[in-house]
Amino acid sequence: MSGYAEAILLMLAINVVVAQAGYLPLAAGQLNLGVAGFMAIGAYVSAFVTNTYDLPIVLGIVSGAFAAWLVAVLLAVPLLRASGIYLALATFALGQVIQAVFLNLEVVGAAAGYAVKKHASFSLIMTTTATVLALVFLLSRTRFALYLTAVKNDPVVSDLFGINVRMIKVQAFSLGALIAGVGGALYAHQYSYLEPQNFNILLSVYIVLYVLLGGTQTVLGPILGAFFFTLLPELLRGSEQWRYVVFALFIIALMALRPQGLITTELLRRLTLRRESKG
Amino acid sequence: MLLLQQIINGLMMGGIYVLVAVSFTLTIGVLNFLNFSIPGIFMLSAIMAWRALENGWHWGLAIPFGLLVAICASFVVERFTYRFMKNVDHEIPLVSSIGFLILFENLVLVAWGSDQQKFPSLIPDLNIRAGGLIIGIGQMLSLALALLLVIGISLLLKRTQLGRGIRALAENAETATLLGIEVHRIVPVLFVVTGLLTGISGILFAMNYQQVSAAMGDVVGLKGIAAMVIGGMGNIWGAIIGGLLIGLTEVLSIYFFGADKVDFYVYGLFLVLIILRPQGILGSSAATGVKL
Amino acid sequence: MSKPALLEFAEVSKLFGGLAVITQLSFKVDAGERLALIGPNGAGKSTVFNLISGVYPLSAGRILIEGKDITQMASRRRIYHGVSRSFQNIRLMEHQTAIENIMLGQHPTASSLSDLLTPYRLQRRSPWVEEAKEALARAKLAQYAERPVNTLPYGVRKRIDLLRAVMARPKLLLLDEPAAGLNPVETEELHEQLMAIHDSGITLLVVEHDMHFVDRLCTRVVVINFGEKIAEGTMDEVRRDAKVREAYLGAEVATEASDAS
Repeated sequence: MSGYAEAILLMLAINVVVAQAGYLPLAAGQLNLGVAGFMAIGAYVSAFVTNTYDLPIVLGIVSGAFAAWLVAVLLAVPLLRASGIYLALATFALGQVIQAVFLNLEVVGAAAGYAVKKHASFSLIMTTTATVLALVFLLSRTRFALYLTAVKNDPVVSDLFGINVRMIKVQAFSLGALIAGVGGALYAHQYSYLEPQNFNILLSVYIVLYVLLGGTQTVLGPILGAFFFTLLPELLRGSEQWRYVVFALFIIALMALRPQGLITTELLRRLTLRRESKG
Repeated sequence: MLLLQQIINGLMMGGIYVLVAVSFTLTIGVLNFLNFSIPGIFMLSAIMAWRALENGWHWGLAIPFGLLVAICASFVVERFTYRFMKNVDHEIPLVSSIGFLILFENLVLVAWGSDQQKFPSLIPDLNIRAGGLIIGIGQMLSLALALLLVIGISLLLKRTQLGRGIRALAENAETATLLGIEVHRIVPVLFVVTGLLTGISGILFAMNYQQVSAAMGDVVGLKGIAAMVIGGMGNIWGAIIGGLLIGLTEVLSIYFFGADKVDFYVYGLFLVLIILRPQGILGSSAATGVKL
Repeated sequence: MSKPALLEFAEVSKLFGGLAVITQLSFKVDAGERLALIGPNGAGKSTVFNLISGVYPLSAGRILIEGKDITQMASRRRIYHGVSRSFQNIRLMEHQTAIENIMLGQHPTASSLSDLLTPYRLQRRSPWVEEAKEALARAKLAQYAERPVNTLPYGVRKRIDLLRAVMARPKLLLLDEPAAGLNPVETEELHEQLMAIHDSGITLLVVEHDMHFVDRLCTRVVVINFGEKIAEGTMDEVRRDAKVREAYLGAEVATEASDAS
């Protein structure tokens, strides 16, 4: 495999992971514009523990993910008092605050950036990605996934059927953060240098775009969205800016024409039906 | 004395935030739509005015040209976001408006690159010096203009037929339709107004800081959102307080804690407020209610 | 000591911003009954349902289930004490299938952590899916099982909303205008379905405008107007009641007259 193809695949793997981090909260109706902040926590924590205590990368990833999850759980209760656009704005502010914290945290280099000593192998990143996808896929086959939809759709009815709406919301939010932490840790050990500016609002926005482009109804949607987002700019020739122009036009057109995203449960159902009728 | 000077600078900067915050707050208050294209429109108007000046236009033509582009851009955003937002999740128009932000910024990057460009100072660089304090006339004029514009918008909402229509729409779209208010006419007008306000703030920024760039809207836009939230979403008087407060918090935290910590305090304040008091400082008690 | 009533409403009042919607309302539902709660539009019938299910807190009074005071109980817990409900304005997950919607109603009987995390959709024969399918089949809706509910006709959606409530295996089922918007054939099917549900041991409390439907289905009616109980008894008894004729049937005649004009 060429170095270029490998680099693209690695970028793709990380994007696919973080797309799932945006997807879980969105499945419960939470627009998390602070995903990049949780990625930053995962990245810095993993980098710090592997640098300082010489832990293996796998343990670094686990600590990074755990730290992001913990911060999310602690903040979820006050944060999730808000909903809809208020929650989107609150998470946006949270992302900015987390970024500002790392910008001032001397122990990880503050604004100057932080070098990550341990570099993850291609296979480690791929294995981690596959594990995350497998777990999210399993989760999507459970009642939990059904309740995410129920809570997004109608929290009052969900509550009357005995579902602990707050618990489901907190879980969706913090599991999203956990996966973002994994994605951030992978990023740290792939690119080997961390700067707080890497984890800005634009990154959060892009992650949300992966999910909404692909569609929030299935696990496959965000994966496809991440593929599309990663590969489209590579496929478009010309300057980087032109790529983004085309890309922006694509976003606008897609949201206007197919707001539910590229992949919907209805589409999958039709595809399976066709396969069955053929077979 | 230096502190007082900082406070004055903060209020001046706050004036720009006020205008941006009012644009955000109008679309949120009336349509419950967080319009992320506003930073792009902010930048477009300033860049287009700069281009016109570079081509030798008189400023009396260049500025209206910049504003016209801003209004047109805002109108296009309306066609592709609000038009399609019926019966879809609330994040969809938001995402389209982000699409427009990316589009506007990259079109400008393609055309004129990412460098900061010098914007000529149109107002003579006069300062008032009073007891060791320096107050730029241009900055003071722009703060005054910002406040006048907000008062104007407020009167427009209270006194005119259009304003009553907008407020009815903010209250409840269905009821507004039942009352015979032509929603499909009011919404484009609302986007024209916010486009104009955003455009004015972009040009004021360019004149005061004498520079323009493709990314100039980003930071101001984010601070404008913070200002809107702090003042109370949908409340235009709140936007004034929020804008000035953000300007002050910014300069004071630079003064006391250093530039790297600014975002921490500005967004920290924002985060605490949106959780503890989602209706903002001046908002009504119902978090999603109307406060125009 | 006699067994306490399945549901007891004891001098319940509810004010919305100073406006009394329910005033000192008391009534009982005994186990095994089919009771209708009727009254003109705006009499407060839907509010009664929302108070029982806990959507709103009470302003005064008490609500008891089998003698147990549930007035302060969180709305979420009430289904575990045997109260479930259908919704007047069908509230389903529009993009999900009939099966998935009905499965929501299984939550009270499948709420452990392992239930939550079992990847049932990977199982060849998930007991939950099978149960949902059987319920649909019993209601003669089997052909709609795999269809997203937003593609289904109104009458079918209405009955899926009902099936979801039944799936929770309640003691008391609250039905909010179950026959509204149904055609005569569907109304007849609904009647049979409700009788079957009742035969399985579920007590019914119905809010309904279709008096013919109420007459056939229910053994007893409580009439409320302006949030107060004005009569109680069999349909024949309340029909003869002067207050009811004046307040309710009079209003009904007036409505019909204005509808006709």
